[in-house]
Amino acid sequence: MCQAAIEAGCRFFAGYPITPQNEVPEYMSSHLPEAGGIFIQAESELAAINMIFGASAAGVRCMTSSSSPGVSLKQEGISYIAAAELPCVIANMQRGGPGLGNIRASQGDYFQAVKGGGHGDYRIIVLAPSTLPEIYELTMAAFDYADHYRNPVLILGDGILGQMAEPIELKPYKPVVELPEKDYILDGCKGREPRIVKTLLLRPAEALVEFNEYLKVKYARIESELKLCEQYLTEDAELVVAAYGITARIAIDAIDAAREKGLKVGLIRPITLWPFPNEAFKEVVGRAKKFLVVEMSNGQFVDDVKLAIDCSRPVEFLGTGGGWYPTPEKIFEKIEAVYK
Amino acid sequence: MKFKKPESLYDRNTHYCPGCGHGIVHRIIGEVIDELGIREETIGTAPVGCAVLLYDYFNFDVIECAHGRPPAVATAMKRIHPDKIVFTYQGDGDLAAIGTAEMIHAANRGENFTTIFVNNAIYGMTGGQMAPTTLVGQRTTTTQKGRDLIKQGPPLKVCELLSSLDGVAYLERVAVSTAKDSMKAKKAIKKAFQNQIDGKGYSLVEVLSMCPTDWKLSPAQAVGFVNDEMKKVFKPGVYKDTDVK
Amino acid sequence: MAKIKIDSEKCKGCCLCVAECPRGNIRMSEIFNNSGHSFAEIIDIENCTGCALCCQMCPDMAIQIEDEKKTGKIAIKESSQRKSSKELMKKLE
Repeated sequence: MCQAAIEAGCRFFAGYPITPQNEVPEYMSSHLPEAGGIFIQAESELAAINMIFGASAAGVRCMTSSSSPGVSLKQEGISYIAAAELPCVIANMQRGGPGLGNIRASQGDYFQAVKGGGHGDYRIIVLAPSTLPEIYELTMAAFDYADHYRNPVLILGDGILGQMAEPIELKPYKPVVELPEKDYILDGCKGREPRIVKTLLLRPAEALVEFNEYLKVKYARIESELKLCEQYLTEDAELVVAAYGITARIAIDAIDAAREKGLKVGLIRPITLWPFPNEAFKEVVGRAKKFLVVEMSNGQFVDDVKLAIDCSRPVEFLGTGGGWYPTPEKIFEKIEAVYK
Repeated sequence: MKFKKPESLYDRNTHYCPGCGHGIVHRIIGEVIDELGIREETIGTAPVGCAVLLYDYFNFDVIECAHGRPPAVATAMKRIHPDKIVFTYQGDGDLAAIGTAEMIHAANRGENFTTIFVNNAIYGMTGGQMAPTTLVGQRTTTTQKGRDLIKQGPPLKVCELLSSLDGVAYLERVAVSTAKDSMKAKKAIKKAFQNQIDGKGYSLVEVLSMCPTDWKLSPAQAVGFVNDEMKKVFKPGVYKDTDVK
Repeated sequence: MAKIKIDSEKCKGCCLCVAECPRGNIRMSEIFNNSGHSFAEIIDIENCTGCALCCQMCPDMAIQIEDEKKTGKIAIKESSQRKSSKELMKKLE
C-alpha cells in the first residue's frame, strides 16, 4: 500500500500509531522522505486528519492510515474534507470493536465507512481490496478517484490484510481516470485572486441547501460512474455468497470445496462498497435462488445486499462480531446447511 | 503621518460588535503583512469562533479549519510550502481548550509558522460561556456566580505554558486596549512574522482583547476590564525570545 | 498638518476614539448612520494634530489619515488655483 501510494505520487503522510496498521507509518517514515515527501507522526488522530486537510488544500497527494478506534477520531476531519471537496486517501485496517475492542481482524466498521461516520450529508468513496496485489492497485486508483471527484477515498481493509505477506508485482503508476487541474490550491495569491477553502455556509440562508443539492448531484454522478465488483462462478450458481475484503477471499476456498461436491455456488464481491454495485447484484439475482452473506460483523454489509436485491431472494447470514474471522470449513458448513 | 486601510484588508464593514478587539487585530495584521510585502505569499487560517469569517476581510489565501485544528492544518501547509507565510488566527476556546493538543505539539515541534492568539477571556460567538482564560470571579453564562477557583480552576496562561517548550522561538503577550498597547501589539506581531521569514520557528503573540457584548460592558468599560483586570492576571511582556541570549 | 477623516458609515459607535483623543476633540453624533449607530465626529478639525491615536483604537478602520505630503500638495495647488482664478476674475472685472 505504501509503495503504491508513493508510486502514485503521494507526497504527504500524517498518522498516529495504532495496531494493526503500524507498518504503514513505519514504512512511510523512512521511504516517503526518500521520495521527496513529508512524513509527520501526529500528536493525535485529529491532528493527523487535519494535517491531511491542510496538505490537500496545499495541493499535494496525501494520505493517512489508522485502525477502527483511530478512524472514529478522524471522522470530524473527514466530514470537513468532504465538505471542502478536497481529495485524500484514508486507510482503515479494521480491528475488533466496539470501544478499544481487540486487535484482531474485523469488518465492524462497515456502517461507519459506507453510511458515513461524521456529521452531515456527505459520502466518501469506499474501496475494499481482498488481496495485497489488489491493495497495491486500488491504492494507486484511490488517489485518482480522489482527485477526479475531489472527494475523500477510504480503503477499507482489516487486520488480516494489514499484517499478511504476499508476493506482489509492482506496476508503474498510470492514472485510471482523467485528472482535472487543481484550481483550488492555496499557495499564496501571486498573480491571481485570493482563494478561500471553507465549509461554513451561513449566508445567504439557502446557501447550504444549494451546496447540499450540488453534492447530491455530484454523489449521483459518482454512483453512476464508479462501481467495481467481482463475480466468481455466478453464471450457473443457485446459491451466491456475498462477501467483501478478506472474507470474500476465504469464501472462495469454501466455494471451491462446494463445487467439488457438485453444489452450484458462486461469489459476488463488491470492490466499491460506496457506491454499492447494485446492478451486479440485480443481474445475479435473475439466476440465483438464494444468497449467503458472510462478514466479520454481526450484520452490517448484509443490509446493503438485501437492499441491492430488493429482498427478492432469501438472504442467509454467517457473521460474528468482535474480531472473528470465518474459516473455509465454517463457510462450507454453512453453504451445505443453507443449500437446498 | 499617514493612516490608511492596508492592501491586505478589503474595504468592508466587519460583522464584529462595536468595540470588539478583533477589528484592531485584523488591521494590525493587515498592516504588518503589507509592510513586510508578503500579501501574495501569505496563507491564513480561519478559526471557529467570531473570527471564522476573517476571509471576508483579508485579501489573501485563507483556509477555514475545524475547531481547534488550525495548528495541524498550518503545519501541513507550511511543510508543503516552506517558502510561503502561514499563520493561524485563534481565539481562546480554539487554541486553549479544544485545540490545546494541536497548539502545544505544533509549538513543541518548532513549526515555522506564526500564531496570533486573541484572548478575550470568553466564548464570544456562542454567547458568552466560560473560556479556559476566563478570570476567577468573572461571570459568564456557564459561571453565573463567577468562575470559581475550586470548581473551574484558574485561567490557563498560554504564554507561561509555552515558555517551557524548547521548540518555541518567540512568545509575547500584548493588548489592544489602548492606542499605546496597539502599537506595541503591532511591533510584536511584526516580529512574529519576521521570525517566520527568517526561519526561526514557532512564534506566538497573545493579544488581550475586548468583548464588550459578552462581558455585558460598554466598550469603554471593556477597555477598562482589559487594563485593570486582565493585565493583572495575564501580564503583558515577552515570555520567550530566542534572539535574546 | 495631516488631519483625520472619519467615515461615519463604517463607525459602529463604540466611542473608543473619544476616550483616546488627547485633545478631547472627538464626540458622538446626535444623529444616526445607516446602520443605526451614533457615530464619531471631530469637534474642531483645526484642533486635530493627526496623532492617529484614535486610528490605532478604531476597530472598524473608520478613521483614516490621508498621506500628508499628498494632501498638502493638493491643498496648496487648489488654493493657488483658486487664488489665480480669483485674480483672473478681478482682471476680467
